[in-house]
Amino acid sequence: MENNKTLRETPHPVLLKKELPALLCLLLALALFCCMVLRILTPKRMDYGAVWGMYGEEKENTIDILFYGSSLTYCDIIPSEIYKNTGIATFIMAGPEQTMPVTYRYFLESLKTQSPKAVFIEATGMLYDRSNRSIKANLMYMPWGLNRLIPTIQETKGEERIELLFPMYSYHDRWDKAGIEEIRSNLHGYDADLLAGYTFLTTAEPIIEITERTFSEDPDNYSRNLAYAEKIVERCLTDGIKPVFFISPTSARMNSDIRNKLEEDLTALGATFVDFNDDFEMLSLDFSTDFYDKLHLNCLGAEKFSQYLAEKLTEWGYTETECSDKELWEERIAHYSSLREGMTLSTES
Amino acid sequence: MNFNSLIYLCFLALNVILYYILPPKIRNYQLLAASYLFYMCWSPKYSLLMLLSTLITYVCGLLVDRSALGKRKLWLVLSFVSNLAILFFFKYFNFTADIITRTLNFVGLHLQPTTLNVLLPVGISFYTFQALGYTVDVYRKDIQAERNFADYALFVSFFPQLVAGPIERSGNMFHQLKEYHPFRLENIRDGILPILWGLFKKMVLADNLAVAVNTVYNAPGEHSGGEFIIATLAFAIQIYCDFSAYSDIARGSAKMMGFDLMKNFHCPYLAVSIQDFWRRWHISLSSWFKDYLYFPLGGSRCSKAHHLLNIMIVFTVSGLWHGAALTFVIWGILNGLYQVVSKLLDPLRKKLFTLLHIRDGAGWLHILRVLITFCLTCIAWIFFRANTLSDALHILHAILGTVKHGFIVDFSTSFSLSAYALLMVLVCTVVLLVADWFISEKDLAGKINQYVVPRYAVYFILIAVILLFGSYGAGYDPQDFVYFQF
Repeated sequence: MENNKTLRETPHPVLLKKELPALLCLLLALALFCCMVLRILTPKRMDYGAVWGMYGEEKENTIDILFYGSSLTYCDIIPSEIYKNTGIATFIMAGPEQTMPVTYRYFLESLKTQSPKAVFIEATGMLYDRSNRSIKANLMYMPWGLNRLIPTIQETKGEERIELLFPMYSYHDRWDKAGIEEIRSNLHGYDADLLAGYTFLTTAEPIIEITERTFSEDPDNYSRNLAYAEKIVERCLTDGIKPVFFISPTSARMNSDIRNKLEEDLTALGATFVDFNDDFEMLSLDFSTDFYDKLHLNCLGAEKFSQYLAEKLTEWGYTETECSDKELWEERIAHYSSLREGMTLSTES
Repeated sequence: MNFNSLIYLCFLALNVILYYILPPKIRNYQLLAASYLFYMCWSPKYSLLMLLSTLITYVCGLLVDRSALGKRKLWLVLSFVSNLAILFFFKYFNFTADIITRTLNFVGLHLQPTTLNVLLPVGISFYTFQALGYTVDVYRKDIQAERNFADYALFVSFFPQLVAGPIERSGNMFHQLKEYHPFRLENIRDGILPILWGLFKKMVLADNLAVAVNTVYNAPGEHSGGEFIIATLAFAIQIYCDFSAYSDIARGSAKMMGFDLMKNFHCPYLAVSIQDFWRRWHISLSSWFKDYLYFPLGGSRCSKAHHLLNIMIVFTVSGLWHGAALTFVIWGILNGLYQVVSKLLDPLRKKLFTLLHIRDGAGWLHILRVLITFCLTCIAWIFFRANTLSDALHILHAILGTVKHGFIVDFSTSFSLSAYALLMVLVCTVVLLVADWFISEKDLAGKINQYVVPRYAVYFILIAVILLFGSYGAGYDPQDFVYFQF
């Protein structure tokens, strides 16, 4: 039996002057390998918010209003409808169940390429809990940099943090699932978003009544969100951007105490506060056809809301964007029309 | 703290750095603390059990060495009885109670089974055997009893080989524990390759194959004979990759701190007989049984019947060592039987070769022997892997049924792996077997380590393959090393 065989000690010495360059080359090669694999295997983010890949394809400084917030933003507002009615170029940079610390980072990151006149932030995010499940979706597609790393460290923990810092952890196992078409598409990269951040929903859930939505009652949670809202407002005021916090029209609403506190706190920061539930009657939303679910509008409801929002924007003094990418916006209007023409509303009872 | 976790790699790096930073006098204390910390990651309270076992064998070793009360054998027996009693209590009590209850029920005496609700301490069989081997070595005067308790405790608990071997020998370890290990980059270099190779075997092959094997073996009623054949072949590769990966990572980890652990595998599936297989598989355990059981029983220097009986005893005990279940016992017995039958048929085989003018060293005969040995090993693996004895018999029956019903395999659904994943493990298995041969026979690792560019190229390939194809990440249930359960 070979019970005493040992790892052989080779006589060849290790020379640091050769080792260090080799180690650096190895690290570089591995980094390139990971980037390449991630480029191929990471599924494209085309809807449901966090569409950073497509946002990056927007021509610089061509957007006048940026919308932030949660699904209540990307499901309820159709930028092409706003543009069609007003000529104002808008884009939605929201993410699912987004909390204010993440919205703040979205805001900072999006300002790197755009100089909006106003930012509209859906205010329900003030009530979201940092421990929600959607943090990964919110951060995974952000460009690498401090605006991604800081919330990754501050807002996540455990496996979620590892996934965000090292996305191979999440996506390496897609190597046998991604088809040729997907790989080709991923290698091609992103094009400009023809829906400008909007998510086209064609399902209708009949709404029976207006209900009250409950939220985490953790006061620390709220004050934390408020602190980041303050940072957003501060930066807006510094850069000459108008900060507007709004509440989307919905059938499941926060109670009036919370709503009033939100209005009080946010206006105290120097922001404008608009609750579109106050104008609910004027939107003419049909409870049987215009809601995707209790919270969100479907495309029919979103059209009505967007047209109303367009009117309000004009009323508030916003005018046609001077340097918008007109060709792209014409394409967006046509694209949305084609989606609507081909749409069949499916109903869920 | 599994070897295939980031936390282990950090733990190892930290300990390697500490080991070389600290003054030589306290290095063993640092390693001892690290080893107990490593063990406590699984079960803090069972570290006390390991400490108890260490204390018993340490004291018995000293008593044997000093011939206390003039009864050296007494202390040896005391060491064996107390350690085996602990092992029996945690590992074999429930099994024995179950067997007794079943037997009594069979003869009409109906008893309620008595079972203990205790978890099996990780690696108990490994460190118990290592400690017992030490006591025997002292008894045989092969070594002197270790006076320094910390060094002895480190010998028993040295973290790289603590929970799944190799089962080290006092003769190989104590002098290394006493030696000064200066920092040498060569040690780090020589340790990295086995660690990466082990991680490749574990994460890319063993854990991916485990998905297919578990799917089939955990639902024996839902699969065909053909699927069992493939799952059994997959298990043969899985268990080899899993166990040898642990040994590789253990050896690599120890090497980084200047320790040389014994080799545990030597291309086992290239064995030309079952006897040869056991010279190549889990070498540290085979040699332990040879030195501490087979030889004391008389080995081969006795009558043929006695010799064959010795083989059967060793392999039955070996089966029992692996697990407290009838499947493991049958697996051990089967391996013993293969060798007994082979020895009984040896004269007939020689006559047949002479009659047919077959040269014993013919290449085709060598290949045929390798194939037959591999098939016999796989048959035994069925018992090793099956969840119950009746499952094993069902699987064997289904495999034999392929002769009648044909080789029917549904690759699309039966193995819970995509076609690409199956192809990947197939390609990686071929690479593994070829590379393994070169490593064992041509010192491939030594040759790669000589040159910077090929070495870093191999590092890159292994890491890239692990990152892409390895079993890790969200949604994965990292598989424990199979041999942890022993």
